[in-house]
Amino acid sequence: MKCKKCKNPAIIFTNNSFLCKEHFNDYFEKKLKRLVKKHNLITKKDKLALAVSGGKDSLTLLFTISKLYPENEKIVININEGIEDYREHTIDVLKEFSKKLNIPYISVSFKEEFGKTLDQIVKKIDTYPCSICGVLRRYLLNKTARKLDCTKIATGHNLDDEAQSTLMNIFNSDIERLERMGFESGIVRGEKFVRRIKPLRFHTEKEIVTYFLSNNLKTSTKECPYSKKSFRLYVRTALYEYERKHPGTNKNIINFYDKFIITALQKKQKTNTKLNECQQCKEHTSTKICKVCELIKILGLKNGTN
Amino acid sequence: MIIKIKDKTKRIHLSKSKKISEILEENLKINPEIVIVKKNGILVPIQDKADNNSKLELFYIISGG
Repeated sequence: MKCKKCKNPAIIFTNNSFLCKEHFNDYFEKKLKRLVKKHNLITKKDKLALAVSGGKDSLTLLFTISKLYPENEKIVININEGIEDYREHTIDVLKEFSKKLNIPYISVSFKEEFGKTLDQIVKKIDTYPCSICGVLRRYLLNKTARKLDCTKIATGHNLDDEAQSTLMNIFNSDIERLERMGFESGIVRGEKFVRRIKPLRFHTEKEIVTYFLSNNLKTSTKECPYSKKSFRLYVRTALYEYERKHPGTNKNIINFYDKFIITALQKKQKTNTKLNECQQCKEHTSTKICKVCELIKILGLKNGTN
Repeated sequence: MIIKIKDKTKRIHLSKSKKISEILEENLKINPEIVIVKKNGILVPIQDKADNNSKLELFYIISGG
């Protein structure tokens, strides 16, 4: 297979073209820059918090943002949930990589903030660990980024993640979560929310892994042990089956979201949504008590919100 | 041909060259959408062909991170 542009050996077929390493990298980076520019996701004044777990998506984010936006001040924030025989492996990779790129690194753990690791928390519950982990992780990311005066938090969510999340929220009839999605998370802006951006939102998982491998980036190959229990895995497996038989399914779900759902939700948002302060921690919430405070109470965690 | 998947190695016999996506689906029962492939140490599209002398290495797309 030859590259459409230069006839060198192709490494991937994507966007209806075979591309060699050089032209694929070019395509990958231009796609990121196009999204950032179109929606003004990063400005020269932004101090960026890069949310990096040490997996392939977030390491690719770290690599590309540091390469394409060298003028911006950046800091790597890692949230250590406390998952034994998993997270420590990716953290080792991340520390080394941040050092190599000369970007400051900070790690915040569930144990320090909430008194328990995720492993300890999930022993007591009978629900998907990912739903608890996600809420606590987003909270700590926001809190840490705000303390560090960051103006944006960049995450490594990709197109496949977003397509899965869209369907999961539809299956759960979770309008609130559905409306918080998009290349910039959340529609309502509040002074306590650091804006979350997703520069890799239009990149497929396959493109990210190809970019990752072709640029000789390395990480642990261990998968999160809780992912096997997740609703996401079920949706993900189903969507890859659709993708095999009907290529472009994930992209079409995102296009549908952007063209139809987001417009409808934005109209609703303008008329209906109020941003409250949580009665306990004073963070922004759409209800009286935020989800983090609810979880702290239910799970008997240390109150890290103070 | 030799196929490396994570830490394991498999051997299958191909009487003629075949598309990698077909090898994945028919011989290995793997959805080609969830792997990236190196042939003889070089990244290749799954539409590429391999023969009995080829060495394939599969990289699973891991969720999260």
